[in-house]
Amino acid sequence: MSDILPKRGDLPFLSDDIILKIFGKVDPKTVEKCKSLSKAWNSRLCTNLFIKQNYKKIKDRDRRVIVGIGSPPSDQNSMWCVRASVDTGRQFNFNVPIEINYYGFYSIIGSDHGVICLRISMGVSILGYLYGIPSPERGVLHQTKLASTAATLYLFMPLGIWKIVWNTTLCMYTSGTTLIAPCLGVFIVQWKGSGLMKVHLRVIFRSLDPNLLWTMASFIG
Amino acid sequence: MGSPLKKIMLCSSEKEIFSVEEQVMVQHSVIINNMIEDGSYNYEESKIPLDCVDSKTLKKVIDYCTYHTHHHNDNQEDLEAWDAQFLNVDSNGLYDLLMAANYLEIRNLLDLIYRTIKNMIKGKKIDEIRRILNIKDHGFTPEEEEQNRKEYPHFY
Repeated sequence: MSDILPKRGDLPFLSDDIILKIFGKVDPKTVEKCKSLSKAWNSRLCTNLFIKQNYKKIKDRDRRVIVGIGSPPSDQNSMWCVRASVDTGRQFNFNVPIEINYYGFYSIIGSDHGVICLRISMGVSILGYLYGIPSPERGVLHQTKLASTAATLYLFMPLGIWKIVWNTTLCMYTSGTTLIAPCLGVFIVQWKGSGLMKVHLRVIFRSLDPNLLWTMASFIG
Repeated sequence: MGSPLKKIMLCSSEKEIFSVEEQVMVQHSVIINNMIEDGSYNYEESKIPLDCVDSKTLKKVIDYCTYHTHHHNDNQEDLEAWDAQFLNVDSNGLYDLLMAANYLEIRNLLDLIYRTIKNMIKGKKIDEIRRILNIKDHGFTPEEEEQNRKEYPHFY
């Protein structure tokens, strides 16, 4: 209970546990917006505790998942992502713009709260983490930010690590609870070159641990 | 549960005494319920000091608890209308109520306030929310603010 009051209160100065209670169940877009509201709120909404709590409360509201990321042959300046809804199987694709792609190799670490987390690396050295919200309307990952390491760690922690690797024709998907854990599921998809990637979600999901599916499927738009 | 006739005394930060039906507070406030149950409240002498709740807020809190005790059988719409009217206060008033409800652990009221704050924020632009919540100093440096505006133009 937070009963020690600063002399005179104001809504912007709510204590951490109250912020947690108010925003615990709030959708990711609103949370993201409130981060820009004031610095005090920003720091509260970025704490490990909050991100975890928010994740727990919201994870089964809408179940979507990133099913692919790679470079389509037609456009070398951007990466191509496909997002699909678990329940309906509806897919849409979006591009990761060039300025992110500049760093070269990167992989999706996790997607959570409507936020995709990418790890950028050059060879083995990790340069940083990026996160952003893909917009269905514009079809691009248009808001990106270099995440603070601590926040990012927790962003993908609840999901376990999963990554998708592309070469020109094949998409390989691996996942596990840690980087070195054994793969729980692998699938291979033929790259068609254009249009939506044909991925049979159900086939993929059947091959996975149901608990893992739950965490994987928590991409929220 | 206490008997409905008994009264308890609550003392606001201005040392104003409010006499309330025991049942009303026991039903709503976890703290007061505990106090009564463990026998630490003496009906002859005790006043429950609420140093962080001012008279105006305490009166509102008591209003809320009283109304919800006596009208809990009303239909949902009427109660919601009453709640909406009840929370038609400025952001400072809302803050005071929130703190009081939090201190006294009045769960219904807390939930109501949380919902209200969420609704104040949802679907609104940042500038608008800042005005509603009375955020004068957002604490970002001009550069950070400018960058935010550039990155999330649709939020503003």
